[in-house]
Amino acid sequence: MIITKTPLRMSFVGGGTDFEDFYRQYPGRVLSTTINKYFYIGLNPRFDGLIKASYSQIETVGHRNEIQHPLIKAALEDAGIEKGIDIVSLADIPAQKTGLGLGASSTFTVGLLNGLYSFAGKHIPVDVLAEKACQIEINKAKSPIGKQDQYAVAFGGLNTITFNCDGKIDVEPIYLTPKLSEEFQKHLLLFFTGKERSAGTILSKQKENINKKFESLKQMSDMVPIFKTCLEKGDFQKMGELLHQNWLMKKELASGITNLRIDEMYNLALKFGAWGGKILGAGGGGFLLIMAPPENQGRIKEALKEYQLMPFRFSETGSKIIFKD
Amino acid sequence: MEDYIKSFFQELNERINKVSWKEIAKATKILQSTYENDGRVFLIGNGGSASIASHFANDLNKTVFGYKGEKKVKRFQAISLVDNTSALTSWANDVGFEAIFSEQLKNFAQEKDILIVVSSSGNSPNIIKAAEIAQSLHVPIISLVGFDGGKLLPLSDAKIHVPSSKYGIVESAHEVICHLITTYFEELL
Repeated sequence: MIITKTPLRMSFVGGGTDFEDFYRQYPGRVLSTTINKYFYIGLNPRFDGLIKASYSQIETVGHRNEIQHPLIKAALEDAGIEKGIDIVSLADIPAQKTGLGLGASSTFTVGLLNGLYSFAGKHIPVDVLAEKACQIEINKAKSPIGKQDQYAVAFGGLNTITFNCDGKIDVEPIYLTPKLSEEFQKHLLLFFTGKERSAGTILSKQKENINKKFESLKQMSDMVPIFKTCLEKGDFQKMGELLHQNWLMKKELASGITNLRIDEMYNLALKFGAWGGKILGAGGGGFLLIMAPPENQGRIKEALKEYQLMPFRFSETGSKIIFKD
Repeated sequence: MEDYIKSFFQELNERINKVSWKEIAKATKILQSTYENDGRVFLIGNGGSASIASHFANDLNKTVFGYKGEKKVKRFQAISLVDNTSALTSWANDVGFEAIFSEQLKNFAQEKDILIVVSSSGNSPNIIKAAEIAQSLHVPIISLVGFDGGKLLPLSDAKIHVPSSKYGIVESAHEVICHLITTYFEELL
Protein backbone atom coordinates (compact mmCIF):
# COMPACT_ATOMS: atom_id res chain seq x y z
CA MET A 1 0.00 0.00 0.00
CA ILE A 2 1.30 3.40 -1.02
CA ILE A 3 -0.28 6.81 -0.39
CA THR A 4 0.99 9.99 -2.03
CA LYS A 5 0.05 13.52 -1.05
CA THR A 6 0.36 16.30 -3.63
CA PRO A 7 -0.68 19.95 -3.15
CA LEU A 8 -2.93 22.12 -5.26
CA ARG A 9 -1.41 25.37 -6.47
CA MET A 10 -2.33 29.02 -6.88
CA SER A 11 -0.58 31.12 -9.51
CA PHE A 12 -0.31 34.87 -9.18
CA VAL A 13 1.24 36.23 -12.36
CA GLY A 14 2.60 34.89 -15.63
CA GLY A 15 0.08 32.12 -16.33
CA GLY A 16 -0.14 31.38 -20.07
CA THR A 17 3.58 31.99 -20.66
CA ASP A 18 4.25 28.34 -19.84
CA PHE A 19 3.07 27.07 -23.24
CA GLU A 20 5.91 25.76 -25.37
CA ASP A 21 4.70 27.75 -28.40
CA PHE A 22 5.39 30.88 -26.36
CA TYR A 23 8.50 30.13 -24.34
CA ARG A 24 10.43 28.79 -27.33
CA GLN A 25 10.32 32.39 -28.59
CA TYR A 26 10.55 34.36 -25.32
CA PRO A 27 11.24 33.14 -21.75
CA GLY A 28 8.04 32.34 -19.86
CA ARG A 29 7.78 33.02 -16.13
CA VAL A 30 5.21 32.17 -13.49
CA LEU A 31 5.07 33.05 -9.80
CA SER A 32 3.00 30.57 -7.85
CA THR A 33 2.60 28.82 -4.53
CA THR A 34 1.25 25.52 -3.37
CA ILE A 35 -1.52 25.62 -0.76
CA ASN A 36 -2.67 23.37 2.07
CA LYS A 37 -5.28 21.59 -0.05
CA TYR A 38 -4.15 18.22 -1.29
CA PHE A 39 -4.79 15.30 -3.58
CA TYR A 40 -4.18 11.86 -2.08
CA ILE A 41 -3.58 8.84 -4.32
CA GLY A 42 -3.74 5.33 -2.85
CA LEU A 43 -2.19 2.36 -4.64
CA ASN A 44 -2.38 -1.29 -3.64
CA PRO A 45 -1.49 -4.53 -5.40
CA ARG A 46 -4.45 -6.69 -6.45
CA PHE A 47 -4.32 -10.42 -5.90
CA ASP A 48 -6.51 -11.14 -8.93
CA GLY A 49 -4.18 -9.30 -11.32
CA LEU A 50 -6.83 -6.84 -12.51
CA ILE A 51 -6.56 -3.06 -12.61
CA LYS A 52 -9.22 -1.11 -10.74
CA ALA A 53 -9.13 2.66 -11.09
CA SER A 54 -11.60 4.61 -8.96
CA TYR A 55 -12.10 8.28 -9.77
CA SER A 56 -15.41 9.94 -10.75
CA GLN A 57 -16.01 6.58 -12.46
CA ILE A 58 -14.79 3.11 -11.63
CA GLU A 59 -12.92 1.10 -14.23
CA THR A 60 -12.07 -2.56 -13.67
CA VAL A 61 -10.01 -4.04 -16.50
CA GLY A 62 -7.57 -6.86 -17.18
CA HIS A 63 -4.75 -4.82 -18.71
CA ARG A 64 -3.72 -1.15 -18.73
CA ASN A 65 -4.38 -0.90 -22.48
CA GLU A 66 -8.10 -1.17 -21.71
CA ILE A 67 -8.10 1.79 -19.28
CA GLN A 68 -10.16 4.71 -20.59
CA HIS A 69 -8.79 7.48 -18.36
CA PRO A 70 -5.97 8.91 -20.50
CA LEU A 71 -3.80 10.13 -17.60
CA ILE A 72 -4.02 6.88 -15.66
CA LYS A 73 -3.30 4.81 -18.76
CA ALA A 74 -0.29 6.94 -19.73
CA ALA A 75 1.06 6.99 -16.16
CA LEU A 76 0.84 3.19 -15.92
CA GLU A 77 2.70 2.90 -19.22
CA ASP A 78 5.39 5.30 -18.08
CA ALA A 79 5.96 3.45 -14.81
CA GLY A 80 5.95 0.10 -16.62
CA ILE A 81 2.95 -1.35 -14.75
CA GLU A 82 0.68 -3.55 -16.85
CA LYS A 83 -1.79 -4.95 -14.36
CA GLY A 84 -2.56 -5.94 -10.78
CA ILE A 85 -3.14 -2.62 -9.07
CA ASP A 86 -5.91 -0.75 -7.26
CA ILE A 87 -5.87 3.03 -7.74
CA VAL A 88 -8.00 5.39 -5.66
CA SER A 89 -7.93 9.15 -5.23
CA LEU A 90 -9.23 11.56 -2.62
CA ALA A 91 -9.06 15.34 -2.77
CA ASP A 92 -9.59 18.18 -0.29
CA ILE A 93 -11.43 20.06 -3.04
CA PRO A 94 -13.01 17.49 -5.31
CA ALA A 95 -13.54 18.63 -8.87
CA GLN A 96 -16.25 17.23 -11.09
CA LYS A 97 -15.57 16.74 -14.77
CA THR A 98 -13.59 19.91 -15.14
CA GLY A 99 -11.06 21.74 -13.03
CA LEU A 100 -11.25 24.55 -10.54
CA GLY A 101 -8.17 26.53 -11.48
CA LEU A 102 -6.01 25.02 -8.78
CA GLY A 103 -4.01 22.79 -11.09
CA ALA A 104 -5.85 19.67 -9.98
CA SER A 105 -5.28 17.61 -13.12
CA SER A 106 -1.51 18.05 -12.84
CA THR A 107 -1.67 17.45 -9.10
CA PHE A 108 -3.42 14.18 -9.87
CA THR A 109 -0.89 13.21 -12.56
CA VAL A 110 2.17 14.09 -10.47
CA GLY A 111 0.83 12.31 -7.37
CA LEU A 112 -0.18 9.25 -9.37
CA LEU A 113 3.14 9.01 -11.18
CA ASN A 114 5.11 9.51 -7.96
CA GLY A 115 3.19 6.64 -6.37
CA LEU A 116 3.36 4.34 -9.42
CA TYR A 117 7.16 4.64 -9.62
CA SER A 118 7.43 3.78 -5.95
CA PHE A 119 4.98 0.89 -6.52
CA ALA A 120 7.27 -0.39 -9.29
CA GLY A 121 10.23 -0.19 -6.90
CA LYS A 122 11.82 2.80 -8.62
CA HIS A 123 12.65 6.24 -7.28
CA ILE A 124 12.00 9.33 -9.33
CA PRO A 125 13.78 12.66 -8.62
CA VAL A 126 11.46 15.64 -8.37
CA ASP A 127 12.52 17.40 -11.61
CA VAL A 128 12.15 14.16 -13.58
CA LEU A 129 8.75 13.62 -11.96
CA ALA A 130 7.58 17.06 -13.08
CA GLU A 131 8.85 16.61 -16.64
CA LYS A 132 7.37 13.12 -17.00
CA ALA A 133 4.00 14.45 -15.79
CA CYS A 134 4.23 17.14 -18.50
CA GLN A 135 4.95 14.51 -21.14
CA ILE A 136 1.96 12.47 -19.99
CA GLU A 137 -0.49 15.37 -19.89
CA ILE A 138 0.69 17.35 -22.90
CA ASN A 139 2.10 14.75 -25.31
CA LYS A 140 0.23 11.56 -24.46
CA ALA A 141 -3.15 12.79 -23.16
CA LYS A 142 -3.02 15.82 -25.53
CA SER A 143 -4.23 18.28 -22.88
CA PRO A 144 -3.90 21.85 -24.18
CA ILE A 145 -1.97 22.99 -21.09
CA GLY A 146 1.40 24.47 -20.23
CA LYS A 147 4.03 23.21 -17.83
CA GLN A 148 3.66 25.44 -14.77
CA ASP A 149 1.37 23.18 -12.73
CA GLN A 150 3.40 20.00 -12.90
CA TYR A 151 6.55 21.81 -11.73
CA ALA A 152 4.72 23.84 -9.07
CA VAL A 153 3.16 20.82 -7.39
CA ALA A 154 6.07 18.41 -7.78
CA PHE A 155 8.45 20.89 -6.08
CA GLY A 156 6.00 22.64 -3.72
CA GLY A 157 6.32 26.03 -2.04
CA LEU A 158 6.39 29.62 -3.26
CA ASN A 159 8.48 29.77 -6.43
CA THR A 160 9.36 31.63 -9.57
CA ILE A 161 9.32 29.11 -12.40
CA THR A 162 11.18 30.08 -15.57
CA PHE A 163 10.57 28.37 -18.92
CA ASN A 164 13.68 29.04 -20.97
CA CYS A 165 13.74 29.20 -24.78
CA ASP A 166 15.94 26.09 -24.93
CA GLY A 167 13.23 24.17 -23.06
CA LYS A 168 15.08 24.10 -19.72
CA ILE A 169 12.87 24.84 -16.73
CA ASP A 170 14.16 26.48 -13.53
CA VAL A 171 12.30 26.44 -10.24
CA GLU A 172 13.63 29.15 -7.94
CA PRO A 173 12.22 29.30 -4.38
CA ILE A 174 11.18 32.66 -2.95
CA TYR A 175 12.22 32.91 0.69
CA LEU A 176 10.03 35.10 2.90
CA THR A 177 10.32 35.85 6.60
CA PRO A 178 7.50 34.37 8.70
CA LYS A 179 6.07 37.87 9.16
CA LEU A 180 6.09 38.73 5.46
CA SER A 181 4.56 35.40 4.51
CA GLU A 182 1.80 35.95 7.08
CA GLU A 183 1.16 39.49 5.83
CA PHE A 184 0.96 38.30 2.23
CA GLN A 185 -1.58 35.62 3.13
CA LYS A 186 -3.63 38.17 5.11
CA HIS A 187 -4.05 40.20 1.91
CA LEU A 188 -5.59 37.32 -0.05
CA LEU A 189 -9.16 36.08 -0.32
CA LEU A 190 -10.32 33.10 -2.34
CA PHE A 191 -13.91 32.82 -3.53
CA PHE A 192 -15.55 29.94 -5.35
CA THR A 193 -17.42 31.33 -8.34
CA GLY A 194 -19.82 28.39 -8.15
CA LYS A 195 -19.36 27.34 -11.70
CA GLU A 196 -17.13 24.63 -12.97
CA ARG A 197 -15.90 25.21 -16.43
CA SER A 198 -14.38 23.29 -19.26
CA ALA A 199 -10.76 24.33 -19.05
CA GLY A 200 -9.92 22.42 -22.21
CA THR A 201 -11.99 24.56 -24.57
CA ILE A 202 -10.69 27.87 -23.19
CA LEU A 203 -7.09 26.67 -23.15
CA SER A 204 -7.29 25.33 -26.71
CA LYS A 205 -8.44 28.77 -27.85
CA GLN A 206 -5.73 30.41 -25.74
CA LYS A 207 -3.12 28.13 -27.28
CA GLU A 208 -4.27 29.02 -30.80
CA ASN A 209 -4.06 32.71 -29.91
CA ILE A 210 -0.44 32.65 -28.69
CA ASN A 211 1.01 34.44 -31.70
CA LYS A 212 -1.81 37.01 -31.83
CA LYS A 213 -1.39 37.77 -28.13
CA PHE A 214 2.38 37.52 -28.09
CA GLU A 215 2.99 41.09 -26.83
CA SER A 216 0.54 40.64 -23.93
CA LEU A 217 2.18 37.37 -22.96
CA LYS A 218 5.61 39.03 -23.04
CA GLN A 219 4.35 41.71 -20.68
CA MET A 220 2.82 39.08 -18.41
CA SER A 221 6.12 37.20 -18.26
CA ASP A 222 8.04 40.42 -17.53
CA MET A 223 5.63 41.21 -14.70
CA VAL A 224 6.88 38.22 -12.70
CA PRO A 225 10.23 39.66 -11.49
CA ILE A 226 8.49 42.96 -10.69
CA PHE A 227 5.83 41.16 -8.64
CA LYS A 228 8.59 39.24 -6.85
CA THR A 229 10.51 42.42 -5.97
CA CYS A 230 7.32 44.01 -4.60
CA LEU A 231 6.64 40.89 -2.56
CA GLU A 232 10.11 40.90 -1.04
CA LYS A 233 9.62 44.57 -0.13
CA GLY A 234 6.14 43.94 1.28
CA ASP A 235 4.55 46.38 -1.19
CA PHE A 236 1.17 44.64 -1.25
CA GLN A 237 -0.72 47.48 -2.89
CA LYS A 238 1.59 47.44 -5.88
CA MET A 239 1.24 43.65 -6.05
CA GLY A 240 -2.53 44.01 -6.10
CA GLU A 241 -2.27 46.55 -8.91
CA LEU A 242 -0.02 44.20 -10.88
CA LEU A 243 -2.55 41.41 -10.38
CA HIS A 244 -5.19 43.74 -11.77
CA GLN A 245 -3.09 44.54 -14.88
CA ASN A 246 -2.35 40.84 -15.28
CA TRP A 247 -6.07 40.06 -15.12
CA LEU A 248 -6.95 42.71 -17.71
CA MET A 249 -4.47 41.12 -20.11
CA LYS A 250 -5.39 37.55 -19.19
CA LYS A 251 -9.08 38.21 -19.94
CA GLU A 252 -8.14 39.10 -23.52
CA LEU A 253 -6.14 35.92 -24.19
CA ALA A 254 -9.24 33.95 -25.19
CA SER A 255 -12.98 34.30 -25.06
CA GLY A 256 -14.58 32.51 -22.12
CA ILE A 257 -11.83 33.27 -19.58
CA THR A 258 -14.21 35.69 -17.97
CA ASN A 259 -17.98 35.97 -18.08
CA LEU A 260 -20.72 38.20 -16.70
CA ARG A 261 -20.73 36.60 -13.27
CA ILE A 262 -16.97 36.69 -12.85
CA ASP A 263 -16.82 40.31 -14.02
CA GLU A 264 -19.58 41.20 -11.58
CA MET A 265 -17.79 39.51 -8.67
CA TYR A 266 -14.50 41.13 -9.58
CA ASN A 267 -16.02 44.60 -9.97
CA LEU A 268 -17.82 44.29 -6.62
CA ALA A 269 -14.55 43.37 -4.93
CA LEU A 270 -12.84 46.38 -6.51
CA LYS A 271 -15.73 48.65 -5.54
CA PHE A 272 -15.40 47.62 -1.90
CA GLY A 273 -11.68 48.22 -1.72
CA ALA A 274 -9.78 45.38 -3.40
CA TRP A 275 -6.60 46.24 -5.29
CA GLY A 276 -6.84 43.46 -7.83
CA GLY A 277 -7.28 39.78 -8.39
CA LYS A 278 -7.74 37.12 -11.01
CA ILE A 279 -9.50 33.95 -11.90
CA LEU A 280 -7.17 31.08 -11.07
CA GLY A 281 -6.28 28.67 -13.83
CA ALA A 282 -7.92 28.62 -17.23
CA GLY A 283 -10.90 30.78 -16.32
CA GLY A 284 -14.62 30.68 -17.04
CA GLY A 285 -15.31 29.62 -13.44
CA GLY A 286 -13.48 27.97 -10.58
CA PHE A 287 -11.81 30.12 -7.95
CA LEU A 288 -11.46 33.89 -7.90
CA LEU A 289 -8.44 35.25 -6.04
CA ILE A 290 -8.75 38.74 -4.60
CA MET A 291 -5.98 40.87 -3.15
CA ALA A 292 -7.19 43.50 -0.72
CA PRO A 293 -6.00 45.36 2.38
CA PRO A 294 -7.19 43.52 5.51
CA GLU A 295 -9.28 46.50 6.66
CA ASN A 296 -11.44 46.30 3.53
CA GLN A 297 -11.95 42.55 3.57
CA GLY A 298 -15.04 42.60 5.79
CA ARG A 299 -16.90 44.72 3.25
CA ILE A 300 -15.71 42.60 0.32
CA LYS A 301 -16.81 39.40 2.04
CA GLU A 302 -20.20 40.97 2.75
CA ALA A 303 -20.60 42.05 -0.89
CA LEU A 304 -19.68 38.55 -2.12
CA LYS A 305 -21.40 36.62 0.64
CA GLU A 306 -23.37 34.43 -1.75
CA TYR A 307 -20.09 32.93 -2.94
CA GLN A 308 -18.25 30.40 -0.83
CA LEU A 309 -15.07 31.72 0.74
CA MET A 310 -12.28 29.18 0.94
CA PRO A 311 -9.75 29.61 3.76
CA PHE A 312 -6.28 28.38 2.86
CA ARG A 313 -2.64 28.62 3.87
CA PHE A 314 0.52 28.47 1.79
CA SER A 315 2.22 25.11 1.87
CA GLU A 316 5.85 24.08 1.41
CA THR A 317 5.03 20.51 0.54
CA GLY A 318 5.69 19.11 -2.90
CA SER A 319 4.44 15.69 -4.01
CA LYS A 320 5.38 13.21 -1.30
CA ILE A 321 4.99 9.55 -0.47
CA ILE A 322 3.42 9.78 2.98
CA PHE A 323 2.72 6.10 3.53
CA LYS A 324 4.38 2.95 2.31
CA ASP A 325 3.67 -0.45 3.78
CA MET B 1 42.88 39.58 27.52
CA GLU B 2 40.43 41.99 25.97
CA ASP B 3 42.08 41.51 22.57
CA TYR B 4 42.03 37.73 23.03
CA ILE B 5 38.29 37.72 23.69
CA LYS B 6 37.53 40.20 20.95
CA SER B 7 39.51 38.26 18.39
CA PHE B 8 37.49 35.07 19.10
CA PHE B 9 34.25 36.97 18.68
CA GLN B 10 35.56 38.57 15.52
CA GLU B 11 36.60 35.25 14.03
CA LEU B 12 33.24 33.68 14.88
CA ASN B 13 31.50 36.64 13.33
CA GLU B 14 33.59 36.49 10.15
CA ARG B 15 33.02 32.79 9.65
CA ILE B 16 29.30 32.79 10.40
CA ASN B 17 28.84 35.61 7.91
CA LYS B 18 30.26 33.33 5.20
CA VAL B 19 27.48 30.77 5.64
CA SER B 20 25.10 30.73 2.66
CA TRP B 21 21.80 32.23 3.77
CA LYS B 22 20.07 30.41 0.93
CA GLU B 23 21.12 27.04 2.33
CA ILE B 24 19.69 27.98 5.74
CA ALA B 25 16.47 29.13 4.04
CA LYS B 26 16.39 25.86 2.09
CA ALA B 27 16.73 23.95 5.37
CA THR B 28 13.72 25.80 6.82
CA LYS B 29 11.66 24.85 3.75
CA ILE B 30 12.61 21.19 4.09
CA LEU B 31 11.72 21.30 7.80
CA GLN B 32 8.39 23.02 7.12
CA SER B 33 7.45 20.48 4.47
CA THR B 34 8.29 17.64 6.89
CA TYR B 35 6.13 19.29 9.55
CA GLU B 36 3.22 19.60 7.10
CA ASN B 37 3.48 15.92 6.18
CA ASP B 38 3.76 14.68 9.77
CA GLY B 39 7.24 13.44 8.98
CA ARG B 40 9.87 12.93 11.65
CA VAL B 41 13.14 14.78 12.04
CA PHE B 42 16.09 12.55 13.00
CA LEU B 43 19.24 14.18 14.33
CA ILE B 44 22.76 12.80 14.65
CA GLY B 45 26.27 13.97 15.52
CA ASN B 46 29.42 12.95 17.46
CA GLY B 47 30.83 14.57 20.61
CA GLY B 48 30.04 18.28 20.77
CA SER B 49 27.90 17.85 17.64
CA ALA B 50 25.95 15.10 19.43
CA SER B 51 24.98 17.60 22.08
CA ILE B 52 24.02 20.15 19.42
CA ALA B 53 21.83 17.48 17.76
CA SER B 54 20.21 16.65 21.08
CA HIS B 55 19.71 20.32 21.97
CA PHE B 56 18.21 21.15 18.57
CA ALA B 57 15.80 18.20 18.77
CA ASN B 58 14.52 19.58 22.05
CA ASP B 59 14.21 23.11 20.67
CA LEU B 60 12.19 21.84 17.70
CA ASN B 61 9.94 19.76 19.93
CA LYS B 62 9.41 22.25 22.72
CA THR B 63 10.88 25.77 22.33
CA VAL B 64 9.14 26.31 18.97
CA PHE B 65 5.79 25.83 20.69
CA GLY B 66 6.32 28.24 23.58
CA TYR B 67 8.03 28.16 26.95
CA LYS B 68 5.29 26.02 28.47
CA GLY B 69 4.30 24.36 25.21
CA GLU B 70 1.24 26.63 25.22
CA LYS B 71 0.90 26.96 21.45
CA LYS B 72 -1.86 24.54 20.65
CA VAL B 73 -0.80 23.56 17.19
CA LYS B 74 0.52 20.37 15.72
CA ARG B 75 4.11 19.88 16.90
CA PHE B 76 7.37 18.85 15.32
CA GLN B 77 8.37 15.21 15.79
CA ALA B 78 12.12 15.49 16.28
CA ILE B 79 14.02 12.43 17.45
CA SER B 80 17.65 12.64 18.51
CA LEU B 81 19.45 9.39 17.73
CA VAL B 82 22.38 10.27 20.02
CA ASP B 83 20.58 9.86 23.33
CA ASN B 84 19.72 6.17 23.57
CA THR B 85 22.67 4.53 25.37
CA SER B 86 21.38 0.98 24.90
CA ALA B 87 20.95 1.44 21.16
CA LEU B 88 24.32 3.15 20.73
CA THR B 89 26.33 0.65 22.77
CA SER B 90 24.66 -2.42 21.35
CA TRP B 91 25.26 -1.47 17.72
CA ALA B 92 28.77 -0.28 18.55
CA ASN B 93 29.61 -3.43 20.48
CA ASP B 94 27.99 -5.96 18.19
CA VAL B 95 28.51 -4.48 14.76
CA GLY B 96 30.88 -1.52 14.95
CA PHE B 97 30.89 2.15 15.79
CA GLU B 98 30.14 3.20 12.22
CA ALA B 99 26.72 1.44 12.51
CA ILE B 100 25.38 3.35 15.56
CA PHE B 101 23.23 5.83 13.61
CA SER B 102 22.58 4.04 10.32
CA GLU B 103 21.10 1.00 12.07
CA GLN B 104 18.76 3.17 14.15
CA LEU B 105 17.64 4.94 10.98
CA LYS B 106 16.76 1.55 9.47
CA ASN B 107 14.31 1.05 12.35
CA PHE B 108 12.50 4.31 11.84
CA ALA B 109 13.10 6.24 8.62
CA GLN B 110 10.40 6.65 6.00
CA GLU B 111 10.30 8.79 2.86
CA LYS B 112 8.43 11.64 4.51
CA ASP B 113 11.10 11.97 7.24
CA ILE B 114 14.34 13.95 7.16
CA LEU B 115 17.80 13.61 8.68
CA ILE B 116 19.75 16.48 10.23
CA VAL B 117 23.44 15.74 10.46
CA VAL B 118 25.76 17.84 12.62
CA SER B 119 29.41 17.14 11.82
CA SER B 120 32.32 19.58 11.85
CA SER B 121 34.55 17.47 9.60
CA GLY B 122 31.75 15.91 7.56
CA ASN B 123 33.88 12.78 7.36
CA SER B 124 33.12 10.61 10.42
CA PRO B 125 32.40 7.05 9.20
CA ASN B 126 29.25 6.65 11.33
CA ILE B 127 27.90 9.93 9.92
CA ILE B 128 28.66 9.07 6.30
CA LYS B 129 27.15 5.60 6.73
CA ALA B 130 23.94 7.12 8.14
CA ALA B 131 23.78 9.67 5.31
CA GLU B 132 24.15 6.90 2.74
CA ILE B 133 21.35 4.90 4.34
CA ALA B 134 19.15 8.03 4.42
CA GLN B 135 19.84 8.58 0.74
CA SER B 136 18.95 5.00 -0.13
CA LEU B 137 15.64 5.47 1.74
CA HIS B 138 15.03 8.79 -0.14
CA VAL B 139 15.16 10.71 3.14
CA PRO B 140 16.37 14.31 2.54
CA ILE B 141 19.46 15.43 4.47
CA ILE B 142 20.14 18.79 6.08
CA SER B 143 23.80 18.99 7.04
CA LEU B 144 25.58 21.38 9.38
CA VAL B 145 29.26 21.05 8.57
CA GLY B 146 32.57 22.88 8.99
CA PHE B 147 36.11 22.52 7.59
CA ASP B 148 35.76 21.76 3.86
CA GLY B 149 32.40 20.03 4.29
CA GLY B 150 33.93 16.59 3.83
CA LYS B 151 32.22 13.65 2.19
CA LEU B 152 28.91 14.64 3.76
CA LEU B 153 28.43 17.82 1.72
CA PRO B 154 27.69 16.20 -1.66
CA LEU B 155 25.21 13.81 -0.01
CA SER B 156 23.18 16.69 1.47
CA ASP B 157 20.07 18.50 0.20
CA ALA B 158 20.62 21.63 2.34
CA LYS B 159 24.31 22.35 2.93
CA ILE B 160 24.92 24.62 5.93
CA HIS B 161 28.68 25.02 5.77
CA VAL B 162 30.71 27.08 8.26
CA PRO B 163 34.07 27.51 6.53
CA SER B 164 36.50 27.21 9.44
CA SER B 165 38.90 24.49 10.55
CA LYS B 166 38.48 25.25 14.26
CA TYR B 167 36.04 23.06 16.15
CA GLY B 168 35.16 25.85 18.63
CA ILE B 169 34.19 28.23 15.85
CA VAL B 170 32.29 25.64 13.80
CA GLU B 171 30.32 24.25 16.74
CA SER B 172 29.50 27.72 18.09
CA ALA B 173 28.22 28.77 14.68
CA HIS B 174 26.15 25.60 14.38
CA GLU B 175 24.45 26.37 17.71
CA VAL B 176 23.67 29.90 16.54
CA ILE B 177 22.13 28.59 13.29
CA CYS B 178 20.03 26.02 15.18
CA HIS B 179 18.71 28.85 17.35
CA LEU B 180 17.99 30.94 14.27
CA ILE B 181 15.91 28.11 12.79
CA THR B 182 14.17 27.60 16.16
CA THR B 183 13.25 31.29 16.29
CA TYR B 184 12.03 31.18 12.69
CA PHE B 185 9.56 28.40 13.50
CA GLU B 186 8.55 30.03 16.79
CA GLU B 187 7.38 32.98 14.67
CA LEU B 188 5.96 30.96 11.81
CA LEU B 189 3.91 28.33 13.61
